[in-house]
Amino acid sequence: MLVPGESTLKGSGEIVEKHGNESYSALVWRRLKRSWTGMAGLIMVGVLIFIALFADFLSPVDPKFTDVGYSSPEVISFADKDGGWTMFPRIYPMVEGAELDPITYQPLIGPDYDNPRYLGLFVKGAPYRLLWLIPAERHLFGAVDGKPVHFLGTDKFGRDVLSRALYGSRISLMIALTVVSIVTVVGTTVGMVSGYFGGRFDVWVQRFVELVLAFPQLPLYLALTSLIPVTAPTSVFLAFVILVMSALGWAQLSREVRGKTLALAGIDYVRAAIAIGARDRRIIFQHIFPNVMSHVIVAVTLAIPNVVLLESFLGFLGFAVKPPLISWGLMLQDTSKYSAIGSYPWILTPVAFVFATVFAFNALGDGLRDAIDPY
Amino acid sequence: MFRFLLIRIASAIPVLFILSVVTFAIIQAPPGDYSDFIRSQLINQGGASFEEADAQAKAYAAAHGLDKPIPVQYVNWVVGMVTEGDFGRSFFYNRPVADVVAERLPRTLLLALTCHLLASVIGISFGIIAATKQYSWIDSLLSFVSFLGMTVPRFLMALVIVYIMVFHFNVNEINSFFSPRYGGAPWSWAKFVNLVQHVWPIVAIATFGGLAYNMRVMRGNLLDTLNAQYVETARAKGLSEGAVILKHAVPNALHPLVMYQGVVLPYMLTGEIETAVIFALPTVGPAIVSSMAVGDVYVTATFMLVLSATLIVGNIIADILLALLDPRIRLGGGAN
Repeated sequence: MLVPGESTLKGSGEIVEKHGNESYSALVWRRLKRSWTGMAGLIMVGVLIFIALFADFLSPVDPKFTDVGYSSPEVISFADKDGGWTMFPRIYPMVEGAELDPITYQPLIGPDYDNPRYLGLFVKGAPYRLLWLIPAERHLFGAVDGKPVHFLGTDKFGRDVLSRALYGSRISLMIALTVVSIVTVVGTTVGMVSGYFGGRFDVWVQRFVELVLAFPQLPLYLALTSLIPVTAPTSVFLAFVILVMSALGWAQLSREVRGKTLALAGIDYVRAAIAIGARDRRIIFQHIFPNVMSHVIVAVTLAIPNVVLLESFLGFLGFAVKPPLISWGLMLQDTSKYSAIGSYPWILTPVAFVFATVFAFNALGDGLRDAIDPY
Repeated sequence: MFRFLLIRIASAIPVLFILSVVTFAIIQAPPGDYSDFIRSQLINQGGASFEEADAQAKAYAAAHGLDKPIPVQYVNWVVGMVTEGDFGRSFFYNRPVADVVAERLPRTLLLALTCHLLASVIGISFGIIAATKQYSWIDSLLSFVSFLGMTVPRFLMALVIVYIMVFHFNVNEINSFFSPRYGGAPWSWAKFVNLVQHVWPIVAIATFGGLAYNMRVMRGNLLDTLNAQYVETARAKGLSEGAVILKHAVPNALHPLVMYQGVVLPYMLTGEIETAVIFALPTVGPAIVSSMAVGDVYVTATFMLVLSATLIVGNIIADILLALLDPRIRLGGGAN
């Protein structure tokens, strides 16, 4: 449906460029380049998407591989067993020693100085499919002999935290992008249609939107996610989580879009289009849509971090995706026990990833808002 | 004005009704209710055989009307609520829901209101400072603060603060309002100080986010009004800069902010709930989460209903304030 609108946009842009002027997108890009937070956000978003796409190449260990549980991060060292300096970076793997903790009687975990694991770039490791297509087994970095290295320690089942956090970006970003796409399509369409047709239809749609906005969001999300049968397959579960998260989000966007559409519907070119007998669909998608687009783009960029956060909070409470899928929220579920974060603070790693994501999208959204609408 | 108010309140009633139906349906839809919780508890922890536990659970369900169809349960609940002010009985706490709500809701509302007020006052003042000193270092600093406030997720901030407080400062009373020695003690200055010592992280976290929003909106609005002609006129009359800003510019910049409060309120409430869940503070947030986990229907449904009512009331108050502030709305400018 949107294709004709987009193609004319591009077409008109090219014509304008021939006259030596700048197209709208070029103007926006030039303004965006001026804001350093916006550019930082853009770069970080790029890096995040790269991480999500190439998670298997970047992660040193298979995220499902289990090792010693709750072993602390292994530090890259240039010192050999006797403390002398060497050329080759290495880590000393954490192993369970023969000694027991005098209080808890748990085996003490400590570095094994006799068996260093040498580190290298582009080492062979667990096989995977690059971009879900090309079979490969090279990883960006890791132990030369293919043994696991845990730069950020392991979780309670002994799985590598760093690798899981990298893999987690896939599901977390996928959820965020899908939810935001659904919210955008529904919110924009409802808003434009309601604002354009007005009258009785508009009144009823707005009553409905008000109703949706009156729900206390967080408790409702919790109630809705508890609707999902525990035995459902992971894919169904994931789809349901996405649906639940989209259920309320569209209302606010549709309100804003409706406000803009109301103003646009009275403008001369729309009235002219009505006067020459253009169909409603054509007016909505050709004349109104391009004008609300800038607002929608900003709203979308700023909505993504909210979904990432929602996912991590629901995950923290144990209501998000189910294993074997990996997401940041799921990883944070273990951090709800004070004792666990006290003894093993490295399981808070996903917090840093969520922070970075939220910062990146917010910074980009901020920059875009100023670039698109400088007033 | 009175008519306007009446219409707003009347239009809230169907919304609340639909909310209650939807909430109740959602909560009751998944299989399992509190009698199932009793059964599994008896089997797992009481060591009862399945038949014994099942008989107990059935008896409980019959006694509390859980064996009736969901619409009947809903009607019973609503009728009790409307006619006798009876919100049902909490199965988990084994006392009337009204008591549970009355115990926790005022705390939540007080906390949320405190955060809201602080966020408004600080946010507006920061916004005024930033707008009057546009492009100075203080403007950039405040913009940075507001960006941080909007960006840093409150729930993760709470998580990190809990970690730091518990494991680096050895605070061991984070999930309560008072130290044990003040339990049941009458209000005193020392008790108040103690309260502040316990709740400041939550207030600080929730305020930080709201402050950022308020400041950003205020700054933008004030910059717009400062360019208006009447401000120029006021300056030309020879008013001092302070009077120009506080008497002429700020009141007119406040309108969009007041309109915005209806949107901010749920944000503040969510913030309070999120942080309280992390801090396990006995307020509404943790109660909703735990009641949902065990299927304590009436508690969950009542909390949801009360929270929605709060949101609606907050929106009405924002509308009234706006009508008071802006004669165009009061005198029916928006009637068409």
